[in-house]
Amino acid sequence: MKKIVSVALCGMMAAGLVAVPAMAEDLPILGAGIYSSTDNFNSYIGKAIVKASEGKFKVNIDDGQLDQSTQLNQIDTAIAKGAKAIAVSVVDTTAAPAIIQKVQDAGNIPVIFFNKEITDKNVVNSYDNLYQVTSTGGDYGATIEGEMIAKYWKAHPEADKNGDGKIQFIDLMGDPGHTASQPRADYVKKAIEDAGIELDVLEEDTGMWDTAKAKEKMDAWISKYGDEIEFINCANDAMALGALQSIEAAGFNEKGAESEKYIPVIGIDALPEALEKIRSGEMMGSVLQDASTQGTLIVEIAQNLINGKEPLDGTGFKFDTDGSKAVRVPYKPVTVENVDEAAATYEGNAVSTEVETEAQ
Amino acid sequence: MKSKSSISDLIRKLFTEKIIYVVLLVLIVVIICIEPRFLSVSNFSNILAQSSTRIIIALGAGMVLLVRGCDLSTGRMIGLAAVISASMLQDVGYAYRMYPHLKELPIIVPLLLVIALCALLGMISGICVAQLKVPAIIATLAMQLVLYGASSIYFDREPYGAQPIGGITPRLTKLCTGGVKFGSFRLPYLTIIAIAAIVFVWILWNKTKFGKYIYAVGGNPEAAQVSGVNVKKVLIETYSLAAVMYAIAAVLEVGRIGSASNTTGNGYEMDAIASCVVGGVSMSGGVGSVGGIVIGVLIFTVINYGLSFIGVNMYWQYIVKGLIILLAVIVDMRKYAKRK
Repeated sequence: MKKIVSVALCGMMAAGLVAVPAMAEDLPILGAGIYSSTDNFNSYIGKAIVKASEGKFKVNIDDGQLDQSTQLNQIDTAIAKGAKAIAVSVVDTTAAPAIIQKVQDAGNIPVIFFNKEITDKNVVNSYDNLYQVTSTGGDYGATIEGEMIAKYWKAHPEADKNGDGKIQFIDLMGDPGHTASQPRADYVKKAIEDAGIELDVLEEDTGMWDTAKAKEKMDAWISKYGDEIEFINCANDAMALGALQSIEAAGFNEKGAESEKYIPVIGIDALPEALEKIRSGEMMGSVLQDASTQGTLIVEIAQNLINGKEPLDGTGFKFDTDGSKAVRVPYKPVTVENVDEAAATYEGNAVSTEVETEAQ
Repeated sequence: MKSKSSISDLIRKLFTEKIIYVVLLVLIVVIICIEPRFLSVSNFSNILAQSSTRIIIALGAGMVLLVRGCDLSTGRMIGLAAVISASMLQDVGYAYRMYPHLKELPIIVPLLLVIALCALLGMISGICVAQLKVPAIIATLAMQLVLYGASSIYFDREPYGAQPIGGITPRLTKLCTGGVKFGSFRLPYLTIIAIAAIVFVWILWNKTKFGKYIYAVGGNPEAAQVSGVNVKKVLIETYSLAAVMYAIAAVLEVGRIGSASNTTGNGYEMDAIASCVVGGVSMSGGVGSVGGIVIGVLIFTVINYGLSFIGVNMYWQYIVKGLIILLAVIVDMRKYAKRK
């Protein structure tokens, strides 16, 4: 038995050795890693990096599997393979110094952190060849989400079902271990309150970014409150879809915004399915985090740095002025009015055209 | 005199062997005290709906536990079956289909496909355990990893990448979220399917030769072998049959959730094993009943649903669930210690 295992292992290693040189071309290697393929948006940036790397870099996206030590090993491997630059979405933002140490030791190669921002300025400034590509602000799109809710509320007086002037509010938060979870919950409420609207939070709990978990939470809540609920806010679309599934089973939103019993549902990410639900009116809106632009930007920065140019040369973007060395790609509100525009993100060659329009 | 002793016997039994049911009752009472609205038909119907697929999964996992096995690949197998069946059950009108040119398929086609696939995968686990003598926990752990990789590859690809596979045909979602109305009570179709599964497994375990073999192999494999049971065959069939249950549950989950991704099914094996253990299935094999497993699942669903209903935070729910599992196993151990 032992023999079989060792033979199998040797075989696998040999296959690995053969596979690597087989891909070898003259293109430089970009060592790229996402923190987990279970995060849709994160892996979507990974996809965008691959797409944008065509003809520029040889790239393979490593999956950090939510485990920092796995990710550090992957970075070691990428460097050992001769990566000219590293682009990574860290599992744990406090592990950034360890990664910086590795790229320094590898001859000061550039490192680009994406999606999860390194917020410690000392760390960011400890290495010159470090840049970040993230989405706008530390609010992870939640301010726009809150503004959309406030705008809807003001435009639809009938949404205040009990006429008390407050929004009876359900909040499905993300995984509490994820950097975006708490800010999303806080900023959405702040934006609504800043618009002069009072909130009455009926329930707030984590749905772990997960459709099935969100649905199960919502099953209990819709049975408890029914039509008392005036707004369902979800920290991502996966949960919004679960919540929608749940309330539709209870007879809400089935016929879109014209339904007899209707509760506006909003999420973040603009997933394809959410876009369909927005189009049909079952969902009120979502927020698009622009993965394709971010992926393209990461590749362009890496290429500029390798060629000794200014990092943002020719990209049309600017660094944020807060000293974070981060480019912040803006979020976009998505409602039934501009749903087609958002859907374009998912069409075949959206990556290149997207960048041109962004750059103007 | 005699009746008195039997009452005290009953009470003693209630607080030792049946303590788990007492705990459930106390929990329900506490939940109702905090939130009287918990006592509603719609909640009852929701709890049934949420339990249904879990029961099917737990019956599969329980079958493996009965033969002294342990299936860690349950969740990921459901995940794989879910993404594959979801990709074939997208509504033809949905814009982001994985197979844009696929004709509308009857639900039975992807269902049979994933059943066949899972039966094969379960058979492989079974062969590893029975023929190659790999410890069950290792064989199914390996299977879990392979399946997760496979479902991620299947799921995360062009043109839409790692997006949940949505737009599931209403033919399936209506089946999995709808129900038969009895006045204000709605009996979910899912529950009817689960009841069918319960009846099927009950007959299988209690009325067939195969069922007797399962208990015999789990109770004492050597003795079973000596008395002419083909232990290897029984093991392989058990793993395979359990996997068939997962495949059915996976398709129902797709309809219930309305989408599938590579995270679908994550951790379901632990829920299933925990429900079995709480329902009195012994981790050392040979002991367990269909009724116990059903009760075990219901306990967890009530906890899940009830605690969410009264607004107890998720973290506390984990703690409560953990304590209940521990309590169940301690009671279980004491039962056997006494027998020895």
